[in-house]
Amino acid sequence: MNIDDPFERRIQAQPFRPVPPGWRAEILGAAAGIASMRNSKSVSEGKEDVTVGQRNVWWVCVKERLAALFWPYGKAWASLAAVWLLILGLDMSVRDSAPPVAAHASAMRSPELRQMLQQQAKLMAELLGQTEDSASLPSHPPIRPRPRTEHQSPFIHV
Amino acid sequence: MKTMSMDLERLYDQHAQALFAFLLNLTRDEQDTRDLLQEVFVKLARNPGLLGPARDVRAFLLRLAHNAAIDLMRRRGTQHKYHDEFQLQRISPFATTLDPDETSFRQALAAALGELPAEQRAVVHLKLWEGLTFAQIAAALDIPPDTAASRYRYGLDKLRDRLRPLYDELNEH
Repeated sequence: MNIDDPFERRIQAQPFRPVPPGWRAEILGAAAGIASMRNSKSVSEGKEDVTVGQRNVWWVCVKERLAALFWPYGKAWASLAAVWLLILGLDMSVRDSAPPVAAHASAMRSPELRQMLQQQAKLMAELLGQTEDSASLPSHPPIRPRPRTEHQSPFIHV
Repeated sequence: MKTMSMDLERLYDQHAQALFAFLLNLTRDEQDTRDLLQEVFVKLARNPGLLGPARDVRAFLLRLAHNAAIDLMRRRGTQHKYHDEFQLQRISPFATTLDPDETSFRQALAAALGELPAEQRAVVHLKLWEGLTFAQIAAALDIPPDTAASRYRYGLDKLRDRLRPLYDELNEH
């Protein structure tokens, strides 16, 4: 490609930094690792046992798919997950605190409490002038409402 | 297996410098460049037949590198926008030199390139430092040739505007 403009030629003449020498071994080592995993996968294809390399490849595939799915709104997904964790936490804490409430309710029905309530009722009855004897007397028959024509006055009108 | 490894070594020796310069110019981050370069070679190791249909191996590798860089930038999103802008101003992809004039020109060029949008920077790089035609650039970046040509023109005009005073001053010496 011929460039006639001196300005472009001047820019073009600027050399870039060289690749750091240590990168070659690192990058080719990583690529060779992937190649060997791929090779072992193809060799053991059809066998039931799964090698570590295959698991790694599978995991890399899953991670790539998840990243492709979630990367546009990573923060939003993380926030949603945090909210769900918070809700689950609150739910668990409410469940933990439920047994004391049930214990309190059962305590209300304990014999000691029932006895205490009976005593209070008895005391109240005494204060109102009632006794156990009067309570034990046969009670009057219940008064049922009757028509006015059948009404009998206890007084004699003169 | 050994042939595969030797193929990768050969590809690295022939193309790693070009891919490194292209990726460093795009990302302006040495760690990102290393990760992306490794990603390209891991992809080749995973799919040995990937290079089979490619007529121009260099252009194909540049395309792989460009796609990986774009994916990385998208993953980063706006979260690292300010960090990236800071990096663009700071990291120079050019070699160091003892000549003070050349040093100042390279620094100014690195800063001016950093101000270009990534798509213009990619085209300018492939045209000037890889010597690709607009058709080849279009194939590498998956864009129409006219778009490649217009991006180059816009990018070069911005570089000219930015560097012209320094360029004229250095030429007067």
